[in-house]
Amino acid sequence: MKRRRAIQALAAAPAAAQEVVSTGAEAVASPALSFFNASEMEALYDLCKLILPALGGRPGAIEAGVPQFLDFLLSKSSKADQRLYRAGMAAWANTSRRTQLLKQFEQAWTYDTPADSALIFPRRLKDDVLRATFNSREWLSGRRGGGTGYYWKPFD
Amino acid sequence: MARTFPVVIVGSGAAGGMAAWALTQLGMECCLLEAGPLIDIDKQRELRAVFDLPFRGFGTPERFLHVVQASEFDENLWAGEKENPYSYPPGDPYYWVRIRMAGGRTTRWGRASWRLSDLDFQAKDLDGFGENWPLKYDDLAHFYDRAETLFSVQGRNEGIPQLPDGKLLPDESPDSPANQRFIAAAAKRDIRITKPRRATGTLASSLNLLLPAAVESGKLKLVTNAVAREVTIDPVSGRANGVSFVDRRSRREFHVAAEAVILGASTLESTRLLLNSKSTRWPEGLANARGTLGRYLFDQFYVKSVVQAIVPEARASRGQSRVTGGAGYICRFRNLRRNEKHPFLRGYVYDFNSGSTPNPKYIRGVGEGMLRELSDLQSAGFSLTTMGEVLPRYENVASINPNLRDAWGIPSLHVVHRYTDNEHKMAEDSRQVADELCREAGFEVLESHAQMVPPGESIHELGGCRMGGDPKTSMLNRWNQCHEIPNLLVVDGSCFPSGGAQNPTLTILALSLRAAEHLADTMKRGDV
Repeated sequence: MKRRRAIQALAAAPAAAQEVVSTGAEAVASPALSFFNASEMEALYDLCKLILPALGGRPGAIEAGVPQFLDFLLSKSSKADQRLYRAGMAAWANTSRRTQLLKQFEQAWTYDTPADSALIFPRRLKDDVLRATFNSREWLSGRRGGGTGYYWKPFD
Repeated sequence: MARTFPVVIVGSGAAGGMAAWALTQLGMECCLLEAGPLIDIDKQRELRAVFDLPFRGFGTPERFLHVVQASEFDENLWAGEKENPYSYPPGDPYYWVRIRMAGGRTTRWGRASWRLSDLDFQAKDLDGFGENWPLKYDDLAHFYDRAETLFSVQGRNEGIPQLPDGKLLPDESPDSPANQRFIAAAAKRDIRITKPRRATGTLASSLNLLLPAAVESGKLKLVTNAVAREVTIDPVSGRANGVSFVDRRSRREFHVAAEAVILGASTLESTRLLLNSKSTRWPEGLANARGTLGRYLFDQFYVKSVVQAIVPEARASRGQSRVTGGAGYICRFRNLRRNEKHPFLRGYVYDFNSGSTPNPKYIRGVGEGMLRELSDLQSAGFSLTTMGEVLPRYENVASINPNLRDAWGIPSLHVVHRYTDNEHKMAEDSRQVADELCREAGFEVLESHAQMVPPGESIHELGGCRMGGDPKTSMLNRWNQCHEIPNLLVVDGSCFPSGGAQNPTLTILALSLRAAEHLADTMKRGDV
């Protein structure tokens, strides 16, 4: 009965108190790869480090678990999004194409879509990496405000 | 116990909610059918951290293909397309954004509350396109006054002819130095700028401001989870005599009888309901004597962030010391007079705000340099969004898709809505002017563009069941009654013959109030 009461008390405790003894799975366990293969994942790590490295005590994309998160997100995403990432990762694996992709990061952002669809990938990846990092527990931890919102529960 | 109500209303948002409010305040009994549930907002939502959402705020992939407004926080609020499907031609997507709950979309609206003027109501007089409204500004002014008071609209009265003054809570907030510079640059071109006009209060919605008073009057029967299927008619008199509906959860079929029927279910849902109300007498949809039902569909186009600029002196976080901040509204300045030379008819307006931080996508590079620049630009942004008038065209039409039904077996819509050269040229003009104004104000332009969002995305869909003086070219008379069936009224955005560039909700509220009170008056006199 003591154990049962302890669990009940934990469930009723405020979220901050719960975190002392319970945590999200991502903090302690490695998720299985579900979209990228091992070499793509390795390349994604490199790209994440390039786009948003850890700086000045702030976590970067790697510390925020972005490669693993994007692997999960892409596994659930539309076929079009999956194709975009696959083509982008293939271009990145090609040394001559890689230079073109790197140049894209330095270009001013524009609403015009590049004719070469692989060149869309750097824009999209940068957007996704930044968003996934800025919305991560690691990035938001210790910051006042931000990162919270009203979640609407499903209707009956 | 089944009974006959004086009035049955379909929809509980701005249009239906206002009709219910108006009629019950006059002592008339009404039955209000709402397709969704009645929600206790405090119990329905809870604070969560974005990293506790399954997709870190990206949203459930592929859940909403056409509702860009849905976030992962509120995606349970929006009507899903699996239960509520619709179609559009390949290559011409239409974004139909819906909420099915008591209060409708007023639970999530942007609260912008603008009046139309005779520049809009009588637009044909100026350029010869389309049809005038069958009413003038003076006919609606009193109802605008009352709607603004009910919704505690805040703003400034500035005597701008194309944006009539109203019953507003005064907005005395000062303009930031950056905004003052922008306003001065606009003034050199005779472009008028005012403060935003917004409904205020904790939850300025039909759910909070209209329905409670209607229920409290004891005159309203609110039936939730009632998905309307068809408006029924008396075979002898030809008059509307009620509405059949399906219970959302049990799927049982019901019919509620009434002496008059008011549709306020939204532009497309009311149109759909009439199109689905077929009979031997009305094979093309109820009261659709001349094929105008569903036609002349339009909205207002948006060019989001038409210009994203930086206020240079706000760099390095100086924006936080009030260099930037605040919002404004640029009134229509094109085609105010006959014979202006522009490559398009009508005009557009802008919303602008300063003091935000630009989206990181605008920052070149990656890594430390990008982060440093992003930090430098905190609160230094200045951006504008264009909202343009879309011309109502016969070819833009909502019809029934015979091969598509919703989860309740009700035939769904096929929506054809394409923008034309007029909208494209107007969007480009708005890009050019906004870009020039920003540069003249001394701002640094990061990006400007003229890409309109797809039709429907602005959630300002209008037309399809328009008012007019001529029954051959319109569905409704000047009191929102069907020409063919006077005890059937349509009071939502579908009644608009044209829409200007101003957000339409305040006009919908005023029209619904006017139509409902006129109906009450005529019913009391036995004239309907």
